[in-house]
Amino acid sequence: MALLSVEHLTKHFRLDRSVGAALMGRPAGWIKPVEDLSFEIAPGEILGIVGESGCGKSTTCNLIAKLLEPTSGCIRFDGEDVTNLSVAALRRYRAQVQMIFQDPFDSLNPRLRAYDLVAESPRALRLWDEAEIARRVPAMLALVGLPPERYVQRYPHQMSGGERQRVGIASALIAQPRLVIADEPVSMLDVSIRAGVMDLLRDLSVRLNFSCLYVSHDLSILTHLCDRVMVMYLGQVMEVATAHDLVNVPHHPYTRALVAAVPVPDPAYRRQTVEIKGELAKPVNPPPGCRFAPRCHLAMPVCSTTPPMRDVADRHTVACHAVAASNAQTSRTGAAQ
Amino acid sequence: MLLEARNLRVTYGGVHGEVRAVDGIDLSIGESEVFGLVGESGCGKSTVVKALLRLLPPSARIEADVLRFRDHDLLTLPPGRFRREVLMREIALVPQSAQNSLNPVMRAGAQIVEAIRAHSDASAAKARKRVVELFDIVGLQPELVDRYPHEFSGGMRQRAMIAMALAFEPALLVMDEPTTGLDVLVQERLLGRIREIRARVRSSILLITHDIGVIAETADRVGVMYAGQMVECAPTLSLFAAPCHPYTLGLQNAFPSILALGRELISIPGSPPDLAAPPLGCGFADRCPFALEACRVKRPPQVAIGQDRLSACIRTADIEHIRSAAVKKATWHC
Amino acid sequence: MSDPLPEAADAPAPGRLARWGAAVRREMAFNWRIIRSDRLGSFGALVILIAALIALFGPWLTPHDPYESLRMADGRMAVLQRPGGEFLLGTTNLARDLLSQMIFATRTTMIIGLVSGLISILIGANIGLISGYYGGRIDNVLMRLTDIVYGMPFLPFIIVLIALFGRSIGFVILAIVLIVWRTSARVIRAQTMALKQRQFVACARARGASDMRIIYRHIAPNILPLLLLYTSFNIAWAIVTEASASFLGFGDPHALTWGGILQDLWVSGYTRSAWWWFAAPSSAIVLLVSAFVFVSRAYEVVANPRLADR
Repeated sequence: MALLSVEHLTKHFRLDRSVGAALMGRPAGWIKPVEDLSFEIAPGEILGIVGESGCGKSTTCNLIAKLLEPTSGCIRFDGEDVTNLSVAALRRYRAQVQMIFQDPFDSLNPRLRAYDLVAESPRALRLWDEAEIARRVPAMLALVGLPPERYVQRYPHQMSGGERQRVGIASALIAQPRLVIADEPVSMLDVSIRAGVMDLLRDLSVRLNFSCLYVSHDLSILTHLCDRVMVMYLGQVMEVATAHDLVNVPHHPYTRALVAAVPVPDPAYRRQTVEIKGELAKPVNPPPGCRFAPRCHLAMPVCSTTPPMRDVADRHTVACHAVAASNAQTSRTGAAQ
Repeated sequence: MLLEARNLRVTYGGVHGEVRAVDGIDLSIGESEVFGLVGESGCGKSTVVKALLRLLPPSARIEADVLRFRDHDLLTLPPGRFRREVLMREIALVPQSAQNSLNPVMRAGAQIVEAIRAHSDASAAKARKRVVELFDIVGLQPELVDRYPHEFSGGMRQRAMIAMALAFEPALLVMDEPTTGLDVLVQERLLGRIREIRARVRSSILLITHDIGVIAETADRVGVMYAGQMVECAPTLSLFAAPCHPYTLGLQNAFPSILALGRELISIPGSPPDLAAPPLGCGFADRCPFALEACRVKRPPQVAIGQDRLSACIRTADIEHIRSAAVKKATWHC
Repeated sequence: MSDPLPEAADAPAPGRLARWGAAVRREMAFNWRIIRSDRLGSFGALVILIAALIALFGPWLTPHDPYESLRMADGRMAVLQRPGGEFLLGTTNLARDLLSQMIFATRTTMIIGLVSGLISILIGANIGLISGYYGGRIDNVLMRLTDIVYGMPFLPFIIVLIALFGRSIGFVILAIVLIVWRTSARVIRAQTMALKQRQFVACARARGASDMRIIYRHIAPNILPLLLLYTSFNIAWAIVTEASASFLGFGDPHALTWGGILQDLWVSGYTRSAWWWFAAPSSAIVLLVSAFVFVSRAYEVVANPRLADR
């Protein structure tokens, strides 16, 4: 059974109208950062979400971490519906689902020392008494590679970016959550220390037995770390596949363009660029149907209705009318032969 | 040689004492060449740019044995002449976060017209004609000349800033982190545009970035900086095919590539040295698994390798052995 | 459930009180450094310390009773004597020793200033924190209340209040508190709203912190420099206000304050001639109020780090 199951998750924000517009009876605008999102995370799996700015990946993180309430849709954790929770149930949920944040400089309270930062979760959730916390916090710091004798008393401004991010990881993992949401945890770190933090996350996910939802705009990182990767565009899922399949056999035209555009650190390699027209739009008052259609060279009239997710291979699904049509044709010609 | 710098040193007067941000680098850029300067945060690459363009705060000191651009001696050139003759006309800068450098209350075209007229006697009409030309070079529609910056996307604003920098067809175009903060598709479009600009305009480009992938695609020659020093300098192909410095090897290991999904990423343990108290010897010695005692005692000199490569490492003779050891994780994390 | 974490050595767990004690000591050391680093701030702190000492111990050390009409050596009443000799600050028209009056008045002024200042900052800070954090309707209601209080003219309001309820120290304090909280509420609300957007607040919420915990454990420590700045400011305001009210005759007739001394002077009609009677209380007011303002300036550097030498 899936650890986390998200069904038709949608988040809409209403835009405030100016007084003039309200008086003239113009309808309020809507921002729709997440639209009809459905996916699953299995226990022990690392699922990546990739997309450009405005694709809704951060909003998705906040919805699952329950820092935002969904407009509609359903979130199931361990089979239980957690879309609407009472205060007590929310506390239980937070003990199981934690989040690692992007900015190592902003996500730590500058007035708290490493000990208090890591102890925040068990104290806020009243999980253990102080004696137990005093046992576990140093152990957790050691686990993320920060010797407790040297780090327990340090303030954030006394630590480097990589060290701060490790403190952030320790503070997320100390309550032993079963699902960790990582919102671009290494994008603000130097390249030479990113690998260390990513490895740490992967090793701990095995050792402490948690699943991970890893969000990034960098496809190279995701394909190294994740079991499966989900591609989002303007709030909709375009394609979900294993890391290997996504890079080697992408089906969706957006995924193809994305994979083709990733810079490769090999000057001898000539990329085949896939040009897609237009500019990235904001998810404000989007038209119905597939939101990639305005920029897609395969767009057809039917694309004004949202394409359903279809299987194209083992653990590989695509939401695209053009792909579905060409697959149907291939199977027809195959059948005819 | 378009730009020549030997033993360039930049020192800031900080609150807690002096900081040697750039500690004796050699840099030479030829005509119509793209030189990529790559390094992580704090390595000094942005300081080099600011030193060349005299954008440093008054408390900073620039020293060099040679700092020449064409036939101008940049060390002794008086500020008035620098502003009139060199800045914008010969060397132009596309700054970091260029998307945010446009004045939001002025139309985009008008800002470039203003920049042109500030540096020349061009009439308003001539300047405007030039702006339309420039927008064409960078691939922006001519209608956009009269639009406000908020009507541009991030990538388009970046291109508008490049247009501004190209106004006088400078011999050297300096781009400070042009792709940072851009989405991957926008970045790809921008890099393609830079290639086209190269074809149309004969400028050389000094490209500063921390993204090795961008360097691999765009640069003809690469300089790798660490802790204020130039640790390696080579043509792009040979640098990536056969690096000659442990730091370059470490960076290669740490950088993911979608072409090599199975490869294990290896990070470099430790962190860069504090430039307020710079180490005596090689700046990378503390993190280098191949460091010898001699490395910590004295700054390694630039060793010439072949005709066109330099490496600041005293162990370049062992480089074959070092390269094969560097791909193993155990070498870096024992 | 199996515990995969390695066993750590047993450390004595500090109780909550011990932790708070350590935190308070750290804060005080931190504040001490802030004040010490700024010259004017150090001077201000010194003045405040002296005033506090006088307020605490002065009344036992006064040479005379402040209300006693004194005689000089030759038997005459010591009326309007210039400063010097037996009467260091001179005497009033009723032959009362000005120095003794000043010492007693210091205590009253300090009490009124500190109490009003501290209570008003408590009110202002809490309203600012809650209003800024929750936003929405709560924010609207609290800010409209603040606007109403802003609309009230300071001194006339205090005068009316005192005239209605009677002239006593208690009502003076109440009147001051009711007005002075408004500025700190606004500023702290703005700061809270800015801090609320920071990622560490989202992080705290994700870790399970309740709203109250976020406000008081996470946001409040980060506005502490601003808070202390306004505490100092509020105390300064309170002292000036009390002096003004007393001078206009609305102070407690049974308490001796610097403003009250000035009032006596005014009523006596000797304002132009008895310069010593005027000089002492006015200098004291200016000095003490400036001291609190200097101290608050020292905090400005911390509250707004861009002013500092980084």
